[in-house]
This record gives sequence, C-alpha cells and structure tokens, in this order.
Amino acid sequence: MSQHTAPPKAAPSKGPSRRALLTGAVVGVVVMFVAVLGFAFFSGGSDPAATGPSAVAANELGPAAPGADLLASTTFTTIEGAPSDPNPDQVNDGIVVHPLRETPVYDAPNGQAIARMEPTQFGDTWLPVIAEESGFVQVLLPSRPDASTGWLRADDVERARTPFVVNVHLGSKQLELLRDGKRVDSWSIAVGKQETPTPTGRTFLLGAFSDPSQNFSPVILPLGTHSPTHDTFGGGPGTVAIHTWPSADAFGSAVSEGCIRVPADALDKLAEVPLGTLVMIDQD
Amino acid sequence: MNTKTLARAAAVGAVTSVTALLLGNTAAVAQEDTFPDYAYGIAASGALTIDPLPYVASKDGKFVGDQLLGIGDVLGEHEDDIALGVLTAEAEAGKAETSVTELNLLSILRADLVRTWCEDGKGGLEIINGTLLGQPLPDTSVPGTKVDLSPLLTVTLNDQRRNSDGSLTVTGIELSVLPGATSPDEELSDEEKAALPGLSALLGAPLDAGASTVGDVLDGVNGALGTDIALGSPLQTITVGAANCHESGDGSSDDGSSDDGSSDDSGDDSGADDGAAGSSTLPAAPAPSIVAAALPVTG
Repeated sequence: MSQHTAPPKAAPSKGPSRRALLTGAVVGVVVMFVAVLGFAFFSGGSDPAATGPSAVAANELGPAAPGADLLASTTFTTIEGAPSDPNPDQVNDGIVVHPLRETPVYDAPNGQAIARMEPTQFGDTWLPVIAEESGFVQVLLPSRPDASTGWLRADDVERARTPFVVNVHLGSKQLELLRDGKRVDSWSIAVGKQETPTPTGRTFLLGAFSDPSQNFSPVILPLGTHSPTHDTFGGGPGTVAIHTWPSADAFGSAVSEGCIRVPADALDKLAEVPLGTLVMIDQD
Repeated sequence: MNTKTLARAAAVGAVTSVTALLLGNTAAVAQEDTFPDYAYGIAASGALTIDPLPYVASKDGKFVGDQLLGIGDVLGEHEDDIALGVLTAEAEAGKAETSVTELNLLSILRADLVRTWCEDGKGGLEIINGTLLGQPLPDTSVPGTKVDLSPLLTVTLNDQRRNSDGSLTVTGIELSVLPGATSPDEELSDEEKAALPGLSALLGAPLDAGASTVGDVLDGVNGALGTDIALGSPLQTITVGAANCHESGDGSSDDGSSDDGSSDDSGDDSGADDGAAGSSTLPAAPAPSIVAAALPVTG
C-alpha cells in the first residue's frame, strides 16, 4: 500500500524570513507565553523542572491519547465486550486485512472502542474479514474469549485475498487444505483428547514461528483460538496451534492437549498458507 | 543534569515566532477531554530531556503556529551533537504539520528536511536526503518502518496510531538508544561497539571504548552523568516530528476510497458475508514469514 506516501497538497512550510517579518518587538513575550502555556498543557501542569531523566517516552509527553490505555487484542489478552462470531460455521470469501497502523477495535461500526489492534504480532498481523459496513470491517480477533470479533476502520487496513481454507474434522481426525474451494490435500492428524479438547468453530492462522524451546516442531502455526480447558499452558495463554510431532503413531487419534498435530509434509504446505486464512474446526 | 526547561528555551535570542492565536484565554477556552490537533518538532527523554519544541495545539480549530531557529540553549553542551536548523509547528482544525531542517543527530541520522504531517485523518512523513549511519534511509511510505540495530539502537519512521476518537497521531522519527535491552550481560556486537563513540557524544558521557556488554555501557552512562538509569526502558529517546489531527467534518464521504476498495459494491454474491470490494481484484495475500517467538502452545 502506498497511498500513504504522497503528502497532500499541504501548504509548503513557511520560511523563516516570512515569519521574521511578522515578528517584532512582542515576539519574545509571545514566545515565552505560548511556550509556558504549551508546556503546562503538555505536562498536565506539572513543574517543568520536575521532568527528570528517564521520565516518559517523548511521544508520551502529550495529553493521553484517547484509547491508548486499551488492551491490545492478542493471543495473550482477553477483550471484554467483543461481539461473538455470528456465523461460526460460515466460510468467508477469502478477504484478509492487515492493519497499516495501530488502530482501535470497536464493538460495532462507529461504536465503542474495546481494544487496540497492532500491525505486527507474529510478523505482520492478518485477520479474516467476516463482514463490512459503513467504512468498517468486522474481523475475527486473536484474543480471548474464543470466537470473538471486532470492527476496524477500513481506512486503516490493507486488503488481500487468500484462496485457501483449512478444514479440521475432529471426529474423523482429518485435516483438509482447500484452494478455491477444491481439496488440495488431506492428512490424518492428532487432536485434543476428551479432557482437553480442540475447540470448534471458525478461527484463523495467526502466525508462523519457530521456538527452540518447543523443538517438537520446526515451525508452529498458532491459531486465533484457545484451549477451553487450559487457561494457561506451559506459561502460555493456552493458544491452540497446528504443528508437527516427532512420532507418527499419534496421527489419527485424540491425544493432544488441544493442539492439532500434523505430519511433516502437511506442515510444510500449511506454513506456506497466508496468515488470516480461515481454519474451520468441526466435530465431523 | 542536562534537563532544560521550555522557559529557558523561550528565552533564546535566536527564536522567532508568531502565534496567530494568542492563547491568553486558553484556560477558559480549553474544552476538557478533547484531544487537540497538535504538532511539535523535537522532543527527547532519558539522559537528555527536551520537552516538545516548538509545541502548538489548536483546541478550537483556529490556526496556531510557532517556529524556532535552532534550540542551542536547550542543548547546551550538546549543541555540537544535535544540530537543527529551522523548526516549525502548525496546527488547525483537521490539520497539523511540523518540519525540521538540517537535522543531524550525532551523525547517526542526518536529513536536510523532515516533514511530519497529518491532514483530515491521514498522515505521513517526508524526508529529504535522509541517511542513517551514512546509508540512505529506507522507504518511509509504509507506516511504522523500523530499522532495528538492537540492542543498541532502533529507529522508527512514520509511526502512526489511530486514536479511539478517530484522530491520527504521526510520529516522524523516533530514535531509541538501548531500546529493549533486558540483560546487563547482553554482549554488544561489533557494529554496536563501533557506535559507542557516537553514543558518548549523544549522552555527553565519555564511555569506555572497551565496553563489551550492555551493563558496561549503562555503568559508564550512570557513572558519567550521575544518573540511575535502569534496563527496561530506552536509555534515550529522541523524537523528531509529531503531528496529530482529526478528520475534518464527518469524513464519511471518502470512506473506503482511500484504500484499494474503490469499487465498494454491495452486490457481492458470496453468501451472507458481505464482502465488499470485489475480492477478485484484490492482491494475493502473502505467504507468511517465519519469525522467532516464544509462545508455549498447547502441544
């Protein structure tokens, strides 16, 4: 996206000479007055001399920006007031969006801000669009509670399309990769055991990362959903992921803590699928 | 201590300035809880503190402008380390802009002009002849471009944040020293060691050129400046250019046209999910980049 490159036809910065002409004997007084007022406003009225070293980051010196105190919607957070996914069984038309800048998450178009969305989480953030209205897009969120959604300003996102959908069938323990609605491949997988089930519903590929301390899989694909039984797991927030597993004997059974274990060749293909691609998990 | 106050800055003889709006009645006019359209040219926090300069805010929509020729008095002994030409800041309803000419931050970052602008809820950064450590700066058209020389330095260009009131804050350049160091035992790379003289100049602290860890650098800084700076927050942050503006009017008429979805047809036929902007014309979503992360998953 490069629409943001070209500055508008802003008035060119006025040169000092022009300003100098306008100044005059009162300049010193005005400057002092405005500077002091400006600072008083900026600092909330505190004594300038009290601004010591390592106080706050420079861009936090101003009045608190509206919404700056909202939680970011990530796999680590819980966002209260986020609307539930109205159609958790429905496949969208492949539109995914990437926030170009930090932007608020609203509970409705022109609604209440409930969270912030950051441009990067595991690399660039890409989220599936499930609806669009009045200059806003409704996306699935990576935060808890599961199956929660939020609205982003369409002006603040870059759009693209993924041709893929991943179907996960917990009953048959099969994972299908679809491209333009046609099955590309399928694999026998391992899913969550009865006590720690893999959650059903519509979620998405949130990231692709490697982690030396989780060496069971060279790449881990976290999803936008969480274990319904593990509030935390191993120090993490219970994020459900797709990854491979060192031994093949688990495939075809329900043995995991909630994650979806796939054969290595499946992981190779899935690691090429764009982030934001829907992962539809059902009991079939 | 290097902290200077704005009051001193205001006394600088070289200052020229005019405000179209004399804020004599600011206190009475100020509308509480509104976030103004504002701009400033430079600010710094950490070992060297510079309060935002020149800072202007338009709370009632009228034009406010200010201009400085250098900030030598604020910089004091650092005058040779941070060079600035003319700084301007202007704000009015739906528009804010600031520019800094002849910028030289310790010879680390140089530019003939840095213009940070925001208009009607959109914004950007224009840099003319910008270099970082002698290399041309990357394209800054994409918001949030980051040059990461961690743990020693990060430079973020054209950082943008949409606020929940719909206003947009653009931060032109933010240079952070020791931005994310968490362990004093962290080793400095050869490049970082090579940058130590520049850091010495920035902080006005003679650092041991033989420093090999983050802890060595911190000890050197704290010893020289009498400070007690700890890890976890940047040792020094310098911001060049910040502008915040609201959308003028409702702005609803151009919703959706600023990005690619110009054909905002509602007649998409793919089920109940109303995908606007004919999806067939959209670019293909990129394959993911595999990043390093530490997120324990449910296994």
